[in-house]
Amino acid sequence: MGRFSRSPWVIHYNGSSCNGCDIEVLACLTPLYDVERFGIINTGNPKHADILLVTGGINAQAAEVLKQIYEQMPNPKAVVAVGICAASGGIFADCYNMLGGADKAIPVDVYVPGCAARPEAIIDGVVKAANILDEKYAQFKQKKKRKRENTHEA
Amino acid sequence: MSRRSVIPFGPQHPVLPEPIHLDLVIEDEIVVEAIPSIGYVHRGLEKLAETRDYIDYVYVAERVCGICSFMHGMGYSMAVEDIMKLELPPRAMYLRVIWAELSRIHSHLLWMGLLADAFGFENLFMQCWRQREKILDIFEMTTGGRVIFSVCKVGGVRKDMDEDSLKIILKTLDEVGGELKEIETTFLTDKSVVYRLKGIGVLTADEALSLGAVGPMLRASGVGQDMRLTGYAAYGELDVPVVTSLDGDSFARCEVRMKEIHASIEIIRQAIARIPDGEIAVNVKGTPNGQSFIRLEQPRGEAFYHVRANGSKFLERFRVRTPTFANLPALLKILEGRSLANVPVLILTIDPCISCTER
Amino acid sequence: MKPETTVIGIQPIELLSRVSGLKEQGCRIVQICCSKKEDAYEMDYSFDNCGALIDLKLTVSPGDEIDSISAIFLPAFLYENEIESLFGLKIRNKAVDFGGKLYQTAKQTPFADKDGENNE
Repeated sequence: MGRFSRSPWVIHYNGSSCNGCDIEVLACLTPLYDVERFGIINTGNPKHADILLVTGGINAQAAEVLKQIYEQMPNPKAVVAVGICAASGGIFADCYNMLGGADKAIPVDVYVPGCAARPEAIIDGVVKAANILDEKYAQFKQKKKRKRENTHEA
Repeated sequence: MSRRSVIPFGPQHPVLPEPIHLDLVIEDEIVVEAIPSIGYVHRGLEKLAETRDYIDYVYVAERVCGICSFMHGMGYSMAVEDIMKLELPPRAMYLRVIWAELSRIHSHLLWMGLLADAFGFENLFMQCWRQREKILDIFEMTTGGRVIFSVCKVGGVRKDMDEDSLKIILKTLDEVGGELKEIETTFLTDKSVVYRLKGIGVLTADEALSLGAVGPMLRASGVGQDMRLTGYAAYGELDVPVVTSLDGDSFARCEVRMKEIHASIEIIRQAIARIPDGEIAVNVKGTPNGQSFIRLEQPRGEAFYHVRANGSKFLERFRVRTPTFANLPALLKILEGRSLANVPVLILTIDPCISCTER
Repeated sequence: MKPETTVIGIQPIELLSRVSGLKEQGCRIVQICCSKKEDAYEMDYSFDNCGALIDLKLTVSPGDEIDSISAIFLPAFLYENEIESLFGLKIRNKAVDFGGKLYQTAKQTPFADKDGENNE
């Protein structure tokens, strides 16, 4: 287990969700599923968060908010699109006020299927995202190392 | 002299999972005015009715909101059935009542948890949601889904419940009812909880009526209005206890919802005792032509559905007025004159569903 | 069993007096619905009278201004602002005016669109 996947903190943003996936995200935190035992904590502050959980599709207004949250999160960070709406707009893809999935606004790392996504699937998605955090950190280190070597050579 | 300033509340904040946005005009710490703005969750799904087959649209109607999902599907189906003059088999009506009341229990438990979270009692939040999972298990057992289960359709329901399932439901409800008593004691007698709720955000009966409040919000102010009394589905054959309280404050709203869980358990017991045998759906032929107005009682209050069809397979207009929308004027009223620190609890006491409101 | 529903077609000019009459009878407002009908808009004002539903139906042309009923039934202001926002109709003398901005959408909603040309 890498440094970042040990206790990832998550932040949740509801795009234009119908609430179905939102309450399932919350259900992950409550006694039956209880992800807090793995050190996963739901925070309201983007600067404390490692993983961003997006539920629901995105409209023009929500896109701005989502970008702001994403930009405020420290690196390395990962994004999980929870549910079919966050993946593609789902059943609402044809609605006039929808842009589509979360990836219309920010880069997404993991897509969790389902309408509504089941807690087991959401937890699985968060675990995948936690590993991505480690990978991203390793890449970052490597880049830094290469840069240092390059400066030494010059 | 006090200075006026505007504090934007939302859309992303730790209190509510949903992006509600309010501009709070405050003088020092006191809210003088609250101005709502809508649009973060607005999808425009009413327009979708014009391009979806009326049979398929029930899936969209269910996703007006993921919490009262079943009842949205039911309201839409009832409106179309009304236009097409479909007579539903009695068993379908009873099954609808059972699922609807289970939805009410799950919604109220969810709300109680969120309220506990809003006043900072995390353990109580977890206890409420622990009970709620048992209701979700019933949903999963009978329909296959946990929150959105697509079991209601135009002309009846998709799935039947067998004797064993009904027995398990009764057993689970006994369990939940018993455990709830313990949670209730904390909500209704714990000093720190009572302190956060008693006398906060009082709405008198006159105010509630003139502001058009619905559901538990209205009943907590002493007005016993409940759409279930109009006897839709099988409610006409069942004894529906209407829970009211006189105080009209946050505590009363909490108390009403809690007692409504017991009332729902009672209704389900009656329904299971009387459920007749038979078919669970009728064949739907042809296309609807005409209009219908349907009202039903959701966990949050009266919901209104208007469907207009022109004889083609696409509807001309689908309109839904959700209970939270009707409760907004009352919310803006109870926020006035309260301190900023009370805002999250006050917003929660109307049991807001933003997804419903903005559609 | 279905509660009684009465639909009454009225002229825009009668609106305020009809609604005042319903207020005196002790009715409660349920909702206001606007829908596009060919070249005009159809408005449904729904009221509840002890469980029975009364619906006032009227037709307005796109350019017409409608009187607000929020002086009689206060909660009507939300529905009226919603209609202004989504349908682009003008409603005068609202108790609270959001200036057509109750719903903040990136572009005008297709409800307001005459031929549905901009529908996506």
